[in-house]
Amino acid sequence: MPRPQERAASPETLATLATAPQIIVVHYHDVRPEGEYPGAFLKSVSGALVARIKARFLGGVRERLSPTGVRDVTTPRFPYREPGVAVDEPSVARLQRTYRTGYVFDFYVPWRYIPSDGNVTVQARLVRLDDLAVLWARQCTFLPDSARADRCADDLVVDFLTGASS
Amino acid sequence: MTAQRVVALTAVVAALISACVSLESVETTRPAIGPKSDLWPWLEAPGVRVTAHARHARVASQLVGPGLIVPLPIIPIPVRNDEPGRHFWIDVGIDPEGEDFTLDVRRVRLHLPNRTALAPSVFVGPVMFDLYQNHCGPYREPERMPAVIAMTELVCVSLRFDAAPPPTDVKFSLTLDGLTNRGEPVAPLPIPFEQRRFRRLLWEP
Repeated sequence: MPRPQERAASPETLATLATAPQIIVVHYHDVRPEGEYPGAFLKSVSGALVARIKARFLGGVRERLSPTGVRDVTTPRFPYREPGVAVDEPSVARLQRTYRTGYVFDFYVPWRYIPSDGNVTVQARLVRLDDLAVLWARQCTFLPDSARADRCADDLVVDFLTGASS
Repeated sequence: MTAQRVVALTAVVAALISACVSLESVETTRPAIGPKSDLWPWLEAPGVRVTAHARHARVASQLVGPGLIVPLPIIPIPVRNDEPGRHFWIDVGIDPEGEDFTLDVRRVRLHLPNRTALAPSVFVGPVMFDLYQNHCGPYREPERMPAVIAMTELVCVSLRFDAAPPPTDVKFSLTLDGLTNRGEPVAPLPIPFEQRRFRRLLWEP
């Protein structure tokens, strides 16, 4: 049984994405300064890793799917959550307010995974903005270093393109 | 009731008795815009909504007593009457649609009674807007000279005006001029402020 934050991409999604006119790729700021809560240092490290994973994932998808309408947003977004909603995912409605239509890949560290054991979890999603449906969601957990971050990105690419669980 | 529950209940009661409770009456201001029923008011304009939070709240009175279940003695605490500072900070939240809004911070104006309109002297941001506290979130950004900033999502800028913060019962307003969307100027957005009073209960174990 997949966890709520894990969902395989359907063949229809992949087919649609190849020709979609707008696919935005974003990641998020680390909003809390270092030293003000446990795990702050690793959280800060994870911010750079999320950007790295995003870039590598995008490279892998571009190589194998050749989507035409991809735009990589290099400036991180603020990870707003919906007020009053007890989930730690950035709001998809906020993505819609900015980009209006098309699809968005976003990459973030879920708040509940602020690491206590040295690991960091990175969550990736594909959101369709027209109806705010999450079409694909997957995460990977690893000790934060560049090599493992690259492996995480590669696993996400394979998972996205094949629908396989990583 | 089992022995375990009695012990747990006793522990809770002991914690409440030993706690210190403070009842504060706070005076501040909030934007006099939008429906009164809104938890925090936002001014809606084509393609954007804005709000503001003036940082000049003061504790008007304070009562301190021990515990929630022991009502006496209640001790009134003298309220400090600090001299007002030389700077008045106002946080402005801007929530644009799309990616094409800019704000020229130099064109924002603060209107205080009996003096000419003031422009910000420095500002901080854009930073994350705290949707629960309704002001700029915690930040470590440096103070900058007023300039043009681009906005692609909900942001907060903290503006410093070189004037003493006014008492909360004094009417003042902010004019958010300098907004553009796709290069087109947005009509200046006036944000008047009104006094707001509330009480809060603080509990310290």
